[in-house]
Amino acid sequence: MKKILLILASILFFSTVLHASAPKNIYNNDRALLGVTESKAYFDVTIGDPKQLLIRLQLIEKTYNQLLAAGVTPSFIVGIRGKASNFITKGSDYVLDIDLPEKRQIAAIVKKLKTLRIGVEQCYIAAGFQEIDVADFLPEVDLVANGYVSLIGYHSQGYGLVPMD
Amino acid sequence: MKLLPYTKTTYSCLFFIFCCLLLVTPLHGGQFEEEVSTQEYLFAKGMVRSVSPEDQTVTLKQKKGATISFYIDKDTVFEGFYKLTELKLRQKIKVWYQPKQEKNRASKILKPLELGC
Repeated sequence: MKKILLILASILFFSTVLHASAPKNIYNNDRALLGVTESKAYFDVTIGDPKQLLIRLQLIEKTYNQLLAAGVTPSFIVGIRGKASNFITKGSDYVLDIDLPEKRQIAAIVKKLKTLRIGVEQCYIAAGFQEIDVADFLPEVDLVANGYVSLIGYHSQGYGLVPMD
Repeated sequence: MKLLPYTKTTYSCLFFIFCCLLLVTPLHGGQFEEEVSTQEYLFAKGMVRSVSPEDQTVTLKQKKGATISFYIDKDTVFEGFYKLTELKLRQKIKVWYQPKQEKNRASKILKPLELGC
């Protein structure tokens, strides 16, 4: 009898602890997504810090998945310009040796974004300012003549601008 | 007005000096402006890998090349910044330097304007 009580008490204790440590996510975007079935967004990515850039790209992927989970079909474009351009190149060039682990992770996430049909566009003008040879960009990246033109064009097509700096 | 003979000579000398200065000034101004290596100095550009105000050194990583270290002395010219501490990690810089046996001496370090595009 004592043993049974001890087991029951243990089960009760652990279920309480587990329940407390993993609270259900009560937050949602229901009000913002009311009646929304499709969403279009253009992410303006320029940040030159590898750790921050990686977090931004991960957040884009998370946003995409959360929209899907909410029943919304997302259409995303990630526009790269500025110093961020250096991190979407092949190999170990254009960045410091200390930034190589993040550069590899960024390359992996760019590949993943492409599989999700998220367009990753690199501004040709920015590539010039950063002195990056166009052949050195990741194969998943689409080069566009002018990132600002793309931004304006997508905005005209109804894409919402999401600044990421 | 008739000029005295010695006045004419003085004017000629002054004109000659003026012409010489005119020719020398662009050459002097052009030094460390061209992004080239010469027999006197070498040129490198890349991003700041490290800065040590204590040791007065800067290390630069070339975009597709090796890492180069330089030491700074009182004659090193800074352009685009005033102090070594203003140079930050990943900052793009251009360096004109003289290769030495032990270390490279930076003749000029230029911090270009951040275009931001």
